[in-house]
Amino acid sequence: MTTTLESPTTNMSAGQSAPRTAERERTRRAKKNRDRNLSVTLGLVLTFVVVMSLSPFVWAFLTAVKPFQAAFTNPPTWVFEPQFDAFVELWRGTQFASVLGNTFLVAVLTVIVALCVGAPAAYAFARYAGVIGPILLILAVVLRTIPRFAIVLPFYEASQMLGIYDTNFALVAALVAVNMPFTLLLLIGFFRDIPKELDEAAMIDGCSHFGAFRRVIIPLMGPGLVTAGVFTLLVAFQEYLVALTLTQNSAVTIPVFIAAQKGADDVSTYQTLAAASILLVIPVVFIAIFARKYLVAGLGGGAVKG
Amino acid sequence: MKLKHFVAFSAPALLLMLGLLMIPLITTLVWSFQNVPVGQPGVFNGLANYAEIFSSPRFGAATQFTIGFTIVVTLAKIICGYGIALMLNRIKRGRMIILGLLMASYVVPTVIGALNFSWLFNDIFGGVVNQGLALIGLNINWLTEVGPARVLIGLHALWHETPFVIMVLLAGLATLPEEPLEAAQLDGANWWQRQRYVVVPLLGPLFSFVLLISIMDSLKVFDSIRIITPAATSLGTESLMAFVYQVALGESYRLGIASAVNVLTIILTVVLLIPFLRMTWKEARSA
Repeated sequence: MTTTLESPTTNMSAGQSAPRTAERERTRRAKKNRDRNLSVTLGLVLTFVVVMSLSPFVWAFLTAVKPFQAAFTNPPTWVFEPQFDAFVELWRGTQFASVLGNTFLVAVLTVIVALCVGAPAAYAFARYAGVIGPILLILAVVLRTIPRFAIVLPFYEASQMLGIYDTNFALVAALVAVNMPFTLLLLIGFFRDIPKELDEAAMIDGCSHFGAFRRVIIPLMGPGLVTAGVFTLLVAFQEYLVALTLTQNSAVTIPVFIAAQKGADDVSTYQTLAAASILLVIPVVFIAIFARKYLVAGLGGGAVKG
Repeated sequence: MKLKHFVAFSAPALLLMLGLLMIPLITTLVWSFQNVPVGQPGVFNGLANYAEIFSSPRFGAATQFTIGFTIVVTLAKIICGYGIALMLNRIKRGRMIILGLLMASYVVPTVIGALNFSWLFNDIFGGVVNQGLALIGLNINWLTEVGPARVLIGLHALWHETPFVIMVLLAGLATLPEEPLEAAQLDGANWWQRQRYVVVPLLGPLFSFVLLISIMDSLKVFDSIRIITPAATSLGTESLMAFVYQVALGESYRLGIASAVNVLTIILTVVLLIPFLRMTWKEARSA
């Protein structure tokens, strides 16, 4: 859809007399103008959509920095002296800091385990020609789509019996397991893009199969590993259902913490909740903007490459 | 690659999936035929769980809500998402920054997004949306009435998940071949005809991919319901997964009943997945 496309009638008259050429020039210019106007209009519409889409976060920010009285008036107060008591209260008066630390720990451990286990397997699935590969892949697709409670309720029961309920260990194990099919699907897409000839060349040069994988393929997998890593990190960080089921106090993560604070339904916690939201939304939005290329590939589950 | 190497490379992941996914899944299946008190082994009770579920109006309501929600939200997401993707594809500057900003509502943790989203509709916070609606004479109790609460859950899903549709379809639009479009234009096809007969069919696989993901995600909706309408049971916004949680860990500890609901949901999901699985199978075989 570029400006070089012309309407069928003017195109058919191509190569005729001079007046016709002048006319074509005029329609071409008119079209160019129309294109520019359309582009501006669409830009405005899209800007409106963006503002609407970000308004919940803007509102949360305003709520966080309003004085206590001003935050809960109806109709809303628009003029106020910004203050940051809610942020101070969040760090000093609640467990936010320690929960945040624990959530990062859980997310990073999940990424490390998921990649160490997932990368070699994805490589094998991408390379092995037999029938086992596709069967496992289908299984992975099915496992990715089934309800998580079907996996996590048995986890809950088992972790109670083994005495590892409410520990990071149980949570990481569950997160790695639930996300493994997705990690595999994502990585397989990237491994397929690396030509088989490279493995063969490395092996002819005297590498073992594992050596070829470690020295030749893994370095080429940079973008794929980053994508899968960023993805698993975001998913582990934001996972609510699994963490809700498997934790209570000591291994609680941010989403569970926030939901519990919200569940208390106490007006005094709303501003600290707003402050927490903003502190978490800002980094995630930056990741979304700067890692957009990887996100496109990752969100598409390997089906779409950005 | 030889079988020996295949096994060596994939063994850790396969063992992990066997132990931590397959065994729990089988446990769920077994539990669905048992009465399972927490902390004790289950006692076989045949199809009693399924009989109880199918005669429970609450399960019926949850199923109806979940399926209705899935259909409406999926259609709305695809229409809005395609519209926005078309607009984005048409503008010349600022495309990437707009896409990045639009992604925000998709990548923030669902719990936080749902919380912030619901605040716009909450009168305690000044209820900005309600202020706007009051101007046209509407007064809606979003958080306490059945109809509006359902609409609110749907609106949240639209706000939260449409960016994914936009992103996938935009990636497709960007790689569209130019020849069929030019040919259609030369043949005098107008904008609607070009969309209907050229662009949408060319993007077919991406539409079905988005459709599939949307159906899967909607059938499992849980996080937003817990946050926006904690009293989902009385508000008519209880989804299948919210029901499972209440039965298994919320108001009672009936793992057998919850597992039976999970098994039924799995069956429903797999049936819907079949066309996609056949596609994956063919692709994997030909690769």
